[in-house]
Amino acid sequence: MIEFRLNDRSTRVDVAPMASLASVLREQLALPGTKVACGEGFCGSCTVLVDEQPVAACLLPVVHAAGRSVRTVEGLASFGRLSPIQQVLEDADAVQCGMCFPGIVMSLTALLERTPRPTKPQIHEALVGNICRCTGYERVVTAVLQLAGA
Amino acid sequence: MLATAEGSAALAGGTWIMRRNGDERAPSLYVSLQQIPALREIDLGSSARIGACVTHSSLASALAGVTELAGLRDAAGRSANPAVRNMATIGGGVAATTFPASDLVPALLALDARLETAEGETVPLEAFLAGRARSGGLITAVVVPARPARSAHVRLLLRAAGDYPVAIVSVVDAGDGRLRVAVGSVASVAFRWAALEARLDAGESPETAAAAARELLPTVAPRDDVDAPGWYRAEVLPALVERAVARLHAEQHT
Repeated sequence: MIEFRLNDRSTRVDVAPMASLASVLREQLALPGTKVACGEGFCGSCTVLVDEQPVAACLLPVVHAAGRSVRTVEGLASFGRLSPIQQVLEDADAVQCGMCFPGIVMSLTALLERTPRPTKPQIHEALVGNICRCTGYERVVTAVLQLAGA
Repeated sequence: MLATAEGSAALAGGTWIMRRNGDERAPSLYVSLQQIPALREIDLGSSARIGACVTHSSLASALAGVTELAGLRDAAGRSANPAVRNMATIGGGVAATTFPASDLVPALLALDARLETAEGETVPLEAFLAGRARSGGLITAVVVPARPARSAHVRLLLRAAGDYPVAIVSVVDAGDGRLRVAVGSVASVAFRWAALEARLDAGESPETAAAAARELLPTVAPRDDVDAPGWYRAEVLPALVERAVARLHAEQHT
């Protein structure tokens, strides 16, 4: 049995310890917001926060989440209100097909918690591991800059 | 547990091991090192001792103000992407000898790094990579025995940040008048380019270093893979040597 905090609730799962956190989130815990595209740590679609740090959930053995705090895209909105970064991306119409987006939102959430007013290079650096095949990067970066300047 | 269970292996960050899911030759039992705080310690004295489970991002942060180790800092802080850097460890990176595109390995090779094992052995990284000293022991720390005068690390990516570099050059001026040069991702195992080192002194200009590298390309045995053919990996080396030496000279003034 593996126990961890998941979106501010304690969670217990009975799974193989080497199963990836991404697969456990999607298949055991009914949280499919975390996407699995490449499964090799290149694309960033499975990015979640573990103890507030972005990690590739496809490469994290779930046993390494034990005793730690995991946040997924499902944990960002509270009482039906989007988080500020979710809201600004929505307002900027920055979301395209949606496959990469949960990962982008998690990378940006971690960035903004650490650096509330990031510069453009800092935003680029934070998104280095989030690949968008719709190539919709510019609207994302512009939206974050807008939020940072607000 | 590691010693007694057949087919077992140590698990550090997992970023390499998790990509072997479904590989029948993968070990049947992993022993996680994550709950051992001593393996996450960093001691930056005149020699640097870095615990095996220190992540790339922790190492890059710890080295933020250490200009002499700029090469190691850049290797740790620019490899892969932020999410992977938060997971992948220095010990795991060294132990994953089948991964040819590591940034840390050439940076550590140029620094003459040594590995400490749980059995109390100290093994030079170069000997470990050559397979001459692969004891099967558990790596507990990586030690940079002496702080160099200057160091620099350059990498070539084909498309975008986050790719595996097709070639990496890490250079160190140890303060003894010579330059040490390590090459990553070009051959199947990172190596010290001894033939080139013999030609370079610490004040070498980037252009003459590049010319020497070009002359000595026949001493390199490059690897082919889907990212780039071997001839290409070799062909870009002189330019990377030039950039690395130029950056090394720039480090002096920072």
